[in-house]
Amino acid sequence: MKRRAAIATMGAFSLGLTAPRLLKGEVLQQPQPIQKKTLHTDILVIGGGTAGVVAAIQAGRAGKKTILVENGSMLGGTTTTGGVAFPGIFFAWGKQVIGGIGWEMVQEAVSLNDDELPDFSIAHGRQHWRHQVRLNGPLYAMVIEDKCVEAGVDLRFYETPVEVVQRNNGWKVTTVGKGTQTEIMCNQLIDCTGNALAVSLAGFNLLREEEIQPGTLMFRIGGYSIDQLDMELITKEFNAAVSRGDLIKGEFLNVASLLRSAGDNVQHIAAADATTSTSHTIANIKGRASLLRTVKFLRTLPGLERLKVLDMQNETASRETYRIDSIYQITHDDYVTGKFFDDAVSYSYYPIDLHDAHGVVPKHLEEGHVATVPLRALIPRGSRNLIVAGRCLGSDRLANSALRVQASCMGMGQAAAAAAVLAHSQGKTPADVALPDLKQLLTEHGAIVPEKLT
Amino acid sequence: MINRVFAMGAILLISLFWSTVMCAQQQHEGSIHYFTEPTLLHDVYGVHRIPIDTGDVSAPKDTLFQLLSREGKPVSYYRKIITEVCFDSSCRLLRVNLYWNVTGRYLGFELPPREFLSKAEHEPFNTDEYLRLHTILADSLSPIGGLNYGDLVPKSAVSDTLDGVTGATSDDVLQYVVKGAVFTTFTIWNLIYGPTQAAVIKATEQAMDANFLLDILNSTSLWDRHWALDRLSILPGPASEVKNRVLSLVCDGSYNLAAHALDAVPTGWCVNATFQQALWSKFDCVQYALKPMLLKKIGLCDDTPDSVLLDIANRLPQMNGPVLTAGLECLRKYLPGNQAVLQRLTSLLNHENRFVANQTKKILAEVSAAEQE
Repeated sequence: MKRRAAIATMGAFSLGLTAPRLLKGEVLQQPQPIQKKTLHTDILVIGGGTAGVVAAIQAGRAGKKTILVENGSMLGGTTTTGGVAFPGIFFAWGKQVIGGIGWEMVQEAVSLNDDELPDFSIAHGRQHWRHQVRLNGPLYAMVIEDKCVEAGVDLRFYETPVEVVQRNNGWKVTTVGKGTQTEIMCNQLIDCTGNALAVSLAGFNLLREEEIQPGTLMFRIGGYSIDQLDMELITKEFNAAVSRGDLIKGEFLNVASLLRSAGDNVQHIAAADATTSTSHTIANIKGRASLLRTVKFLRTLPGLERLKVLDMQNETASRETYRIDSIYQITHDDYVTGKFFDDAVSYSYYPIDLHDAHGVVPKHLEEGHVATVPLRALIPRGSRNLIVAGRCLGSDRLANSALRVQASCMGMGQAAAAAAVLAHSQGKTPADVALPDLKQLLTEHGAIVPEKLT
Repeated sequence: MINRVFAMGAILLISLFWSTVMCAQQQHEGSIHYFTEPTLLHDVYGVHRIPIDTGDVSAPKDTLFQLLSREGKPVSYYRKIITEVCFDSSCRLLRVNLYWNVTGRYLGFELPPREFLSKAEHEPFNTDEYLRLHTILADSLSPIGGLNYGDLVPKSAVSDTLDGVTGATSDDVLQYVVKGAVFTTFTIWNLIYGPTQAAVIKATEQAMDANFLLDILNSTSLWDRHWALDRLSILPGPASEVKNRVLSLVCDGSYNLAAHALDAVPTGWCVNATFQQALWSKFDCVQYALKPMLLKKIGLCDDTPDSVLLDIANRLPQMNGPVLTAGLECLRKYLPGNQAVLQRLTSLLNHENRFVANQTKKILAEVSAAEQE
C-alpha cells in the first residue's frame, strides 16, 4: 500500500508539474502546424532584389495578378540589403538609356532625400562614378515597397522556393518560409534571384566560372581624421601584417583607400556565393570576420586608436554566381561594340568591371557605344513560360561584369515582366510574343527600348 | 583708361574665337590666351571697377573688372592676378588675368605679353599643357575642389612651402593637375572657383532684368541655362518671352535641364490661366520620366481651367503607372465638385487594367471619405 500510495503521490506530483501555471492573460496553444496554402496568380516573381521589384511592379501595373517572393525581410537586394546604394548608370553619351520604373524609383528616392542628380549632360570621362546616383538605402527600400503595394503586388517575405514543377499551363512553385509552406500556381514565372535558383529548380542547366568574382561586405568606419594620418607608416604596417599572415591578402588591397573611403565598397571576399543558405552563410561569416580582424589591427596604429565601426550591412553582397544557358549568350564583343539586336528590349551601360585578386580596373566603352540586351538572353534554352532578369542572364563572364550592375538589371526587370504580361494575355510563351507588342507595352510604361540607328 | 582698352581688346579676342568652343591657343600681341564658350556675345562698351574681398590673407582687397555692353549690362568679368607660386625652394611670380562669364562660369585666362607659365625647373608649359590647364580650369566639379594644400604632395617629400615637382606629386592628385605644375594648377583653379566667383554672381544678380535673364537662358552653355533657371524668382514680373523660353526648356533633350526647368517654374506664374494651358500643352513632348512632375506642377496651381482638367481626365485611360497616379492626384482637389471630371473618373472604375481601376477607386474613396468628414 505504501508503494501504491507513493506512486499515486508521484503521479499527482508529476501532474502538478506538467499542468501549466498560466499567468493572467496567457492561453495555452497547441503546437502550431506549418500553414499550408495554395495560391493562384498570373505572374510569379522570385527574388525581390533590383530586377524583381521592377518586374513585379511592371506586371502589377499592366493589370496582372502578381506575387513577389523574397527570402529576406526587405526589398531592393544589392541596393538595400547589400548596401550598394549607387545603382549604376542610367545615362550614356548625353542621353537617358535606362528609364521606366527603375528610374522612377531612383528619382523619387533622390527627391525625397533632397539629393541632387549628377549633371548627366557632362561626360563622365574615365570617372564613371560621376554619373552614379547615390541613394539613401533605407529610404529607397521604403519607396520601392510602397510602389509594389500600390501596384497591387502580393508581397511574401521570408520565403524561398524549394520546388518548381511544370504544369500544363505554367508552373507550380512550392515555397517555404517562417511557418509556411505554399504552393503557388502561376502561368508565368520570372526568376530574379540573381543566382538563377528558380531556373535551376525547374531543371534547366546553368553556367558558372571555376572562380567567381569576390563579394563585398559594405560598412562604414570613422573615429579618425584622414588629414592627421601618417599614411606611409600605416601602409607599411598594413602590408607587413599581410605578409605575416595576420591579415588576409586581397581582402583590402589598399589600406589608404579603405581609410579614405571609410569602408565604402573596398572589401573583397573571395568566392562569396549567395546561391544557397550554406554558401551565403560562409560568405557572411568571412565578410564579418575580415572586417573585425582588420578593425582590431587598424586600432593598433597611430591615429587610428579610436577607429570605430559606424555601420555594417546585414550580409556580404555577391557579384557573380550562376548564369542561365539562354537562347542567346551576350558576348564581351557584343557588349563593348554596342551590338544592336532585333529583339533588343533594354540597354545596358557600364564599363567592363571584372573584380579579381588584383582589384578592378574598369574598361570603358568607346564613345557612343551602348550595349543592348536581347530578349533571347533572358530565356532559358528549351523553357516555356519562364524568363529571368538580373545578373543571371545569359552572357559571357566579361559582358556579365557590366550587365550585372543594377541599372541594367532594372531595365531587364521591366522587359522580362512586359514579355511575361503579354505571354499571359496572349496565351504564349515569352519567346513567342510579338516584338512590336512588347516594345509598345514597354514604351507605354516609360521604359527605353533600344532603337537601331540608321 | 588703359585697363578699359586692354579689356576691350581681350573681349574682342574672345568674340573672335568664341566658336572654337574649347581649347584653341590664341596668340595676340605675343600673349597667350585660352577661352571657353562665352555666355554672352555682346561687344564691350565700358568697364566698371568693383572692389572685392579676395579671401587671400596677403592681399585681401582687389578690383574685379566688370565689362559692360552698350546697354550697360555685364558681359563678363576679369581680375588681374599677381601671386606667388613656389618651386623647389624658390618662388616666382604668377601673373595671369582670369576671366569669368556673367554666370560665374570660367571664361578663360590670358597671360600678359611675354609672360608664360612654367613647371618645375622653370620649364615653360608646352601647348598641350596649356590646353590641359584650360580643361582643368573649365571643370567646376574637379576633385581639386576637395583637396587642400597638404594633399598635393606626399608629406615626406617636401615641406609645405615648396611647389610639387613631378616625382613628388601624390598619385591621387596627379590625374587632376598639370604634371609638374601641381601648385600652379591648384592656385589658379581655386582663384577661379573661390570668393571671386561669388562676387561675380552677386554683381550680375544686381543687374538682372527680364531681357538680361532671357539672354542667359539662351546661352549655348547648359551650365548657364541652369544658372538662369535658378534665378527666375529674382524677376518681379517676368516677360512672356522668359516664360516661353522656360516652357521650351521643359521639352529639352537634356534630362537635367528639362527637370530643372519644370522645377524652377514659380507657382506664381500659375495665376495666369493661359500659362497653365501652355504648361499642359508640353505634356506630349516632355520626357516620360518627367510627365508626373509636369502633372504635379499643374496640381500645385489653383483654378486650373476646365479645358485643362477635362483634357487630363480624358487622357487618363491611356496613362500608366506614375503618370496615371499623378494625373489622378492633379484632379483630386476638383472632386467631387467638377461633375464632368467626376464622370470621367467614374467610368474608369471598369477599366480592363485592374491597376487603373484600383487607383481610380482608391482616389474616389478618399475623396468621398473627405467629403463625409
